[in-house]
Amino acid sequence: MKIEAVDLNRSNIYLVHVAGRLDAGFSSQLEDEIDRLLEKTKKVILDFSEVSYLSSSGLRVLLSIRKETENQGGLVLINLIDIVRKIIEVAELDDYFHLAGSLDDAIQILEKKNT
Amino acid sequence: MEIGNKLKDVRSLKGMSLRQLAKRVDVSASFLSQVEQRKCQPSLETLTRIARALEVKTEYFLRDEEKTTKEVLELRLPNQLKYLSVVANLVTEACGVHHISRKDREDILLAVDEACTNIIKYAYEVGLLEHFTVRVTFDPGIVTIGCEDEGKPFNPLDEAHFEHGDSVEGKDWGGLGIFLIKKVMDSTEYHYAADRGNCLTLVKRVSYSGGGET
Repeated sequence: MKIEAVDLNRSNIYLVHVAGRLDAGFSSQLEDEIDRLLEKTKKVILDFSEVSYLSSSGLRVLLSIRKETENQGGLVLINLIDIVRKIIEVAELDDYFHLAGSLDDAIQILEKKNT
Repeated sequence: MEIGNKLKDVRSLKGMSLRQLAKRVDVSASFLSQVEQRKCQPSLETLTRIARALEVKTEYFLRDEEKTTKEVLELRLPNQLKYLSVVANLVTEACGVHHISRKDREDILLAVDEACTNIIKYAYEVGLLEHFTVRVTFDPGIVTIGCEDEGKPFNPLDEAHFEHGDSVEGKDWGGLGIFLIKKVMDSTEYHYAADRGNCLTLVKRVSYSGGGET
């Protein structure tokens, strides 16, 4: 599991690149990293291009990040591979998360929410 | 398993290329390839020649699968989260070996992962090294997952009263894993057996891929 956060130097938006299997074994690691990041910003884009799997534990972490960020910024997920997108749909949470096709779209969503 | 998949299996078992087999059967390699991809069915006469060339009985290709033996994969695992990826890899590979379609394979993977996660997190006292069993049974058209642990009697299916309401905020997401299992599998059943402990059985009707899909 690899987690890397980068300040996009734009409206205090951070891009977090996550790589690995987001199962029960690694979800808490993501939660810890994001908790630290949320002290700096409430505008987070998660790049999931290298997340190969997402379990209910991972979904719960995403839900808690969403809850933390929703009122003061937001959470956007980008570059989801098919199986990860499908799991979010099976959980019936696809309308609940902002899923964007590209980084630019994600930035736009967060900047729009801000105004 | 259908004729196409059976043919592919026997051919690789015998180490014979499509061209080599085609030559022996006196058909084109592309015809055999189409049979393997289930794009066409050989006549009984051709199938007999294929069987002869591969040194198996024609009956093998025609046998009613319902009557053949089921194949069982059994894993004994420590109750540690790091083994989740081991189970995932193994189940993925095993489903691949059985040519199970990608969609069904992903569903099975999700269910196994959630079931194992529940056992690892809740079946035993935290910090104690224990083991549990995952059994994957391949029947024609059906995959059955059996999970057994020797923890306290506990029915995870009862525990989950997870529903999506109008407001998702403030919801307790505890039952999300079981919710996912119930959605992707065709049936779920729990019982407690004195000699085996908690037994969770998950059944999935599966379709098979034509060979092109990975």
